[in-house]
Amino acid sequence: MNTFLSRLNTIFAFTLSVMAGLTFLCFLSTFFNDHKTLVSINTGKIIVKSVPDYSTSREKNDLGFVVFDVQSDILSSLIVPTTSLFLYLTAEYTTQNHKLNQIVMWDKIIKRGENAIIDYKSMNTKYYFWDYGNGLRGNRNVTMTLSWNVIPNAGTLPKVMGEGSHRFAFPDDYTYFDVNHLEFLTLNSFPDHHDLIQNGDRNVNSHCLRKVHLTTKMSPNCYRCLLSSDLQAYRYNSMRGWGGPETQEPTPPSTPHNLSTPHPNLTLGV
Amino acid sequence: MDISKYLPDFIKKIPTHMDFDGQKRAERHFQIIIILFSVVGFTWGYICQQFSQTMYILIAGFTVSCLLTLPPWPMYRRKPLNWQKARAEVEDVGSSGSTSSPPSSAQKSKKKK
Repeated sequence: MNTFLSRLNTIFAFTLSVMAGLTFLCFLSTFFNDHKTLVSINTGKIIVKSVPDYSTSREKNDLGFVVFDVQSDILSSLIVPTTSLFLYLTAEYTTQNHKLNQIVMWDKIIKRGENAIIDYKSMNTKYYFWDYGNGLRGNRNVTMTLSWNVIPNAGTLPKVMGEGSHRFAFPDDYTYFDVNHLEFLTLNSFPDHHDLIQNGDRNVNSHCLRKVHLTTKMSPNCYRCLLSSDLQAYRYNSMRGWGGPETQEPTPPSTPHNLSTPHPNLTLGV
Repeated sequence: MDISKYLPDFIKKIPTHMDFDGQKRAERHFQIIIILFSVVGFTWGYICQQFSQTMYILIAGFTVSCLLTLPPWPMYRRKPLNWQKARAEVEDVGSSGSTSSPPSSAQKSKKKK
């Protein structure tokens, strides 16, 4: 304490100690909070497809499409002592090969001060519902739950599962290419014009269609190509936030077709 | 490298020390100030549920205590130590002509005690 620098050192060290103590108090003030709250989840249209996931292998895996509603009101009281919440919606199911499968279908970050009331209707999944294999078709017991991480200023990072879950079943049949989902592929224009085709108020990505066109020219199996184009269109739409083709008005249940016999309406182009 | 000898006299004459009692009081002062600010800051931060407010108030307390205790203010120099008066003997030695070696004079004074 006899020189300027030694005083500065002492004051600084003391301030840091007090700061650590305050941070510990801050941790104590939120540590005993119970972050649980009620969540209601519902599902709308559910289909399952058998398509190849080219990012891993060429084998066909089950890909589920789920339209869901999430609603929870009490999150606003939770967010006060925290910096942000990380919400994620998971689906849990069992298959023959794997006892426990958990898939994150959707997530959202709610920062402090933002609207913390969750009320979403007819949402598409944010991430693909791929299964390793063929465990989705006819799966009767898929449980959806909403969980969240509470991210505090100081302390632990609790993972909380919301009270309330929803159980749904996948249909027993695969949904193959459905003409109602890709109405914009009018058959007359399909082989000739690959730039921009419009149907109603929905613009179609010309790039997507060009891909369809090219692959169709090359591949003798028209049906397979359209299957992947269906997926591409879904990817494109969900990327742009339009919602996939699956979110359109309910379509009559599509009948699965045999792969060897293409859909009668689609054979014109090739 | 010692720049002190290039400084003008009136700057050298500014006292830069604290006496022992002043050092003790300076330490006590900044401890009290920082603790006080931290308590107030935590209360205020808890009320408005903003930990950043607590930190800002603590930093304000740090600044205040720095201003109050870092410079050697005259209030920390009020109780100088009463050294034993050796001046007369030093003057004796000085008058005898051996001013060139103050350590030896100190030794002499010790011996005389």
